[in-house]
Amino acid sequence: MGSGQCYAKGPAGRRDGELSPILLVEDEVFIRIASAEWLRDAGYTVIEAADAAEALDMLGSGQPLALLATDITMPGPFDGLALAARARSGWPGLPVLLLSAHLPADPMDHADGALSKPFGPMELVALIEKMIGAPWQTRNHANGANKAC
Amino acid sequence: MADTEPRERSQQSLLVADSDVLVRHAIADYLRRCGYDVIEAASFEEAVAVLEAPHVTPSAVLSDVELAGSGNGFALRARAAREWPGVEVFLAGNIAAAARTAGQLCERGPHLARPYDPQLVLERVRRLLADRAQR
Repeated sequence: MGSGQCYAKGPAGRRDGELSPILLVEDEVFIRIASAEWLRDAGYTVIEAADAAEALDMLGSGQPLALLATDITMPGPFDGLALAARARSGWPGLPVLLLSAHLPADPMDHADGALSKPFGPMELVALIEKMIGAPWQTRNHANGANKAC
Repeated sequence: MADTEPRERSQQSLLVADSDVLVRHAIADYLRRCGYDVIEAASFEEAVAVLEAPHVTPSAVLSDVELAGSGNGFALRARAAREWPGVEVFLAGNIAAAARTAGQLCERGPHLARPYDPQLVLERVRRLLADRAQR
């Protein structure tokens, strides 16, 4: 069990649509595997991205998503805060969750939720459920008019 | 019996190593829906880290030939043959690139073509695991 500090806004306005996956962005492979497994065990569908570039590829593909959950410190030209900023400007309906051992002092200025590492499965699942609802309620937040052109 | 297959397969863990997130997710998602426990690696280093981990034991690896990182799919297969001989590595990739790399590394060409044919992947994985069970 972790001891993560968490911050979250309530569920954004849902749209009708198919069940949508969570895009999980984490460069530490075992943290990514474990976090994805916790979320899948809870009933969510998860897409794993190893860095911001992969996340942007997935966002740009038009894949409907329920939430973007991203680490902050990652290799490559974009860190998690830059990815969050890109996602919020390009896909304004998509909730963004920061997962990091080094959250900024004002995490809610950058995202809709934040959880400090280390965290455990219950903390992660509870926070995501608070943000987007239970797995059977997850809907596409990045479709239709909200999607970046 | 068809309805017992998912339960049998669910005990099998597969590692999908591919540096293209769109391809990797598609094939991993397909294999999960078929009942496999799928681990994803985005690079050579991630694939090796997974194979080295004592708590993760994939039965087989499906790897892109042109895997990102310090080694490609052929290097991953060579390392697996050396260090984890029980783990079969299926290679998939562009045929021309595979042939070029194969010539350099004196390895066999890829088993599967990318973009992946999900049915073919499933068939190959099933056959591999069935053969292993018989042995």
